[in-house]
Amino acid sequence: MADVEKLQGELSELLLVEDPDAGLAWAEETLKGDIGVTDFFNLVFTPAMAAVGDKFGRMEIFLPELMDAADRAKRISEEVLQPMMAASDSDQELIRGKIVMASVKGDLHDIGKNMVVLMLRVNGFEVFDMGVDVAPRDILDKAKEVEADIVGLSSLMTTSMPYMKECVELRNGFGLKGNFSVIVGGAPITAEYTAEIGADSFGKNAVEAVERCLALLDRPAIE
Amino acid sequence: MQKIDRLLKVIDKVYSGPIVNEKEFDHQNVAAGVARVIEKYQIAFNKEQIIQSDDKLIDRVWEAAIDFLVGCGIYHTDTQRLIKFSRQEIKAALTAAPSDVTIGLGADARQFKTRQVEDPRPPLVGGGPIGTPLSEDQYVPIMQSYFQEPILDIVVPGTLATSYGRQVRARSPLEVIASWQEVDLVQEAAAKADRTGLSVMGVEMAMSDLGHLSAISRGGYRPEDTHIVALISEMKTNNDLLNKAAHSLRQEGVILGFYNPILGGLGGGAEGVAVLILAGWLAMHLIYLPTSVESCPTHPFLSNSTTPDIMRAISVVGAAVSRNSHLLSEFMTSPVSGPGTESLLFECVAMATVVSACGASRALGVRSGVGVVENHCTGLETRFNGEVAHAAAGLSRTQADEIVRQAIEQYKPVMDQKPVGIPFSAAYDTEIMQPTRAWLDTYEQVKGEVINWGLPME
Repeated sequence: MADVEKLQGELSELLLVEDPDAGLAWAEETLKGDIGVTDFFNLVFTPAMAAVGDKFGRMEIFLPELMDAADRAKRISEEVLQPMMAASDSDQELIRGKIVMASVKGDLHDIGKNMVVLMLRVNGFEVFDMGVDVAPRDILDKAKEVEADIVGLSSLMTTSMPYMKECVELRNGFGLKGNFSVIVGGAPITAEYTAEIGADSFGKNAVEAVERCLALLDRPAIE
Repeated sequence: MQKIDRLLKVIDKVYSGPIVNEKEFDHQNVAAGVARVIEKYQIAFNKEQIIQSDDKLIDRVWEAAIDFLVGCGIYHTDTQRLIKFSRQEIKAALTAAPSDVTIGLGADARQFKTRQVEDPRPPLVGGGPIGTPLSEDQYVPIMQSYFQEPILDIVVPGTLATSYGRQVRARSPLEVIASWQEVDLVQEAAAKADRTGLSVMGVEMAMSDLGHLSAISRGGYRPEDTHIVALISEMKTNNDLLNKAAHSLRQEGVILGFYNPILGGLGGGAEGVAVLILAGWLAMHLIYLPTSVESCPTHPFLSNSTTPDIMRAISVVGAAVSRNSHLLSEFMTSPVSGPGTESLLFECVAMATVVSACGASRALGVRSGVGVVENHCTGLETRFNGEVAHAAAGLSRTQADEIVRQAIEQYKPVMDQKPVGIPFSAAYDTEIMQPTRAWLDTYEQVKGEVINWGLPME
């Protein structure tokens, strides 16, 4: 059996090196060895991406590196893992959940939200990023369209926070409470506010947002 | 050239610049652009110091920022076009920018002037809750606690947690109503403190152009107040913001452009943050034609401005502006700690010392508890922040650096805990509008300690 810890370390490094194709070539070569695609995904690929996310959480790398790593991981998934899994008839899920993310109406801040998006992506989520200043109804429609598991709402301003409440009210009003959870975040958001508006969870920062999303889906944290 | 002519040329660019995908702008223009100039100009800060004192490095950061801005441009999110400027246009904007303006009225009027690195002339002092949510019943007393501080040369209000009992929604009639309520309550607080001429920086409730255009008009904020227009992180603007600038230019108002890059964001570490602040400030001078510029770079997880890396960037930006231009500059103290805590005061010591010693024109603070905990702010911390800024004027950067590093040692262990302290009602005796004995004792104790470190506070 392959040394998965060694492989995890190698891949997490290759996702951050200058050569954008290094990780892809390495994954192709590694999968020619004695590790199957399902084990590779669960024991190497997913933990390696989580390790990159952890580096960002410790500020050992910054957003541009995280963006590059997320792009490279996506290529490995689409160009190597998905075709192999399709060929092997595997029922392995390649995504841990679908999330619609948006900065709510009136809020133009996008960097914090983008950090959460990237952290979710490197942790195996499929994220539909709607951008900034997004109206509650548009968010709801998107969640229905993509059959989201979670809707993530960001607001850095008290004057935009009421639109988080509107999103939750719309979801509940249209009878969609059982369809997706709502997680909220941003500097002024607290646990009390989250409970007050009926949202399901909140994350203080990008690292915690990933933990909370995994918890919402009843998924274990990646070791 | 008249300001309106300059603004019209900016608007022409908004509708004629190259169309670019926003994600491509983030990746190629900003992230890759910053990385390019950091390598080209060999920018690396000395990690042994907070206050960087290598003037050749500082001047290279200035050159890097201009180079970056010429290549990057400013992204207009409504038209998805790039607003680009040449070196000649940047130079012309630098020449046209004021170096000395009057803010406020009558006895409360102040001269806002450019300063030099290690300048013995103290910076102006700005203060207030700075966007911290305040409950309606506490709004006037909290604002009064700032207006009554003689050291303040300008006041920055808090935001209203509710307006007439309703949660305020951006881009709704409630934004207009809340913006006017801000004006009314600020004027009431100023009258109680007998400082109605003091310049007020607003409109804090104007999250869109609606609040700005309504509350800066007859009976509202005056031309002598300070009208805020932001640049979106990173390097972006839109019509809402240009509407604000157009309106305030027509009002002949004092305009402040602010821009808060994120540490660890598209610019990367401290070096990238320094490049972005400078480029953003120059960009605002090109598109908004402000009187002055301000920044509160933000930590991605703590949301404060008092981490060592951020203060390294600020030390470089302050010095770079002072050495290479006559722009009026300002930085904000945004600590994790709140009222009643020693750590809040030590965070003020660190930031206000950096700002003052490195040549900023004005020291702004204190956005206690990073401005997110309702009513957690008082006038006393702003007094302290201002006193530190005054005391640090004239210190050498080496002397200042020693004080800053000692201050960081005091609050660094508790930063992750975010000690937000106590609310205004517990920190002040509102009958006499003075800090409680306990809060005042903490203030006196920390003041005594930093005097022993060599900071010449009165």
